[in-house]
Amino acid sequence: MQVGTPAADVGFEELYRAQWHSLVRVAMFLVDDVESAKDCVQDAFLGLYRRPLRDPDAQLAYLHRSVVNAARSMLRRRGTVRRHLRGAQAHDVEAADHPVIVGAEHAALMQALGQLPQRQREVLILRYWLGLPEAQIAAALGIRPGTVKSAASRALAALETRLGGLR
Amino acid sequence: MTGKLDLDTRLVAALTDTARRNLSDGAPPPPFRRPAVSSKPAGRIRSWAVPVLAAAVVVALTVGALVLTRSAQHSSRPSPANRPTAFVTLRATGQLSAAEMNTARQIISARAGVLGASHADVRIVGTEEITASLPGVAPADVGDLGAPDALRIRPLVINSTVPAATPSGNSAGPRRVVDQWKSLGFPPPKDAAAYDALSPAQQSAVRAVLNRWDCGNAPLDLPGTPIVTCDMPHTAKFLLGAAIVASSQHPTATAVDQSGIGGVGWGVVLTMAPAEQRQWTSYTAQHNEVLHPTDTANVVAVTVDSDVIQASTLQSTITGPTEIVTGLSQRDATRLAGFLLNGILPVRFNVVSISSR
Repeated sequence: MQVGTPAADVGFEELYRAQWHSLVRVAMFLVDDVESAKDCVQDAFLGLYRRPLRDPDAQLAYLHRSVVNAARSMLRRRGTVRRHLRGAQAHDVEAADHPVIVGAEHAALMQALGQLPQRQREVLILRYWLGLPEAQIAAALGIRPGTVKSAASRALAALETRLGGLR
Repeated sequence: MTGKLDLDTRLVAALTDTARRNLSDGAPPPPFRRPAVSSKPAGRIRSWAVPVLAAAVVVALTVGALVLTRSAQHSSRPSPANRPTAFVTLRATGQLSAAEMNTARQIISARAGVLGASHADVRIVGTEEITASLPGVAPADVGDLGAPDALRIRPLVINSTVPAATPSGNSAGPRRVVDQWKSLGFPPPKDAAAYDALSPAQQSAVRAVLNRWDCGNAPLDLPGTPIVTCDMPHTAKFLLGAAIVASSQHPTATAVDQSGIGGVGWGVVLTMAPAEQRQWTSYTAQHNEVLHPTDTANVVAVTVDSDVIQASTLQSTITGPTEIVTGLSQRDATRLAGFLLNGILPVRFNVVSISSR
């Protein structure tokens, strides 16, 4: 806590410090670029700062939604094709400045994840990285819970197909 | 069904590993950039009275990713109906008696509380597995729940660190334990003075072990024997001497906000058991910058499960609690202190599966 911070800001600072890492990682998996991910998160918090919410549930839901939306806009600006590994084929798209580094062991899975349709990828990240229940994923993405469920199963099936031969 | 479960686990592992590689959890987030500047009234300054720190000044700070895998849920928790629940299965890496398994179960239950789980259900299954259901904890925050978390303080033997080679990528799997001195042919130096007393050929042999060491392996970590080890992000290697302090009892560990006393981020302060405190005080009384400036023996490294979390230079005698690490986020400091407080697991438990619902 800094000197001279008004009481209302203290709660915001706590939320910011508590959630920053988690949200940057979510954004990172969606935009594939660490610096862009940080920008997405900064934007999300800025929105919350301008329109504060009191309820912790509402705050988190807002942040998740904002980060997902910011990531989507960023990808739209950057083009629809995303790079996952260094040295991948450059398409007619502006490359990420600080591409996410992926270990060799997980490269195939992360690449397959990156090739999924946007919504399926978002569902998997929110479910397996944040561990959100269906209702919260639905709220964050602006879709019905039923759609979350079907997107998740299609996504997993697609991953299995791409990776093939799972033990 | 089995195939899908494997994919769940692999997905979480891949996400965790990727996150770790790209965003260290060690540093606090950058200051939030507000849209407008407004004048604020003078607020409370939080003061922190820390008993006798006489603390070390940080040198060669390699805190990095200590607690990448050890972060905890924090405030602003969603209501119970909407919280995630992590399901974790842990398997012991050695044979344990029923009593030891019971101890392990208690420690893991306590750790579940540190992670923020409410009403965690932690059970022994068979003779070597423990399952934990952790309401309120996301799979990504479980981290290295089964790590022993053994804390040691060792002196530096050679006053330089060696850069580590690019990691091989096996950061998610269990690490191979290696007896580093098996082929040395003479007792390895327990401290800087012992190293200086070696012949040039012997010193060369010791340096060879240091240079060859792969951070992806784990050293056979015995308190009375020196070890070659690395910092958490595997960027630097150290040759460390026999342990000055090897915590076998539960120390009292407290997370401390440094900003009130002019520091950065949060730290962890350790209060040792009397016997260990005596050894520590004795060492610091004989090796510090006031007595022998720039002596290699003044540099000590704090290790948790063999990984260096901080290297510091002793400035003066430390007669009481010691700040063992600084520059962490509140979440990480709280988690580390909480885990240290609750005891050391008798063996490492590997996470064999982790999922959420």
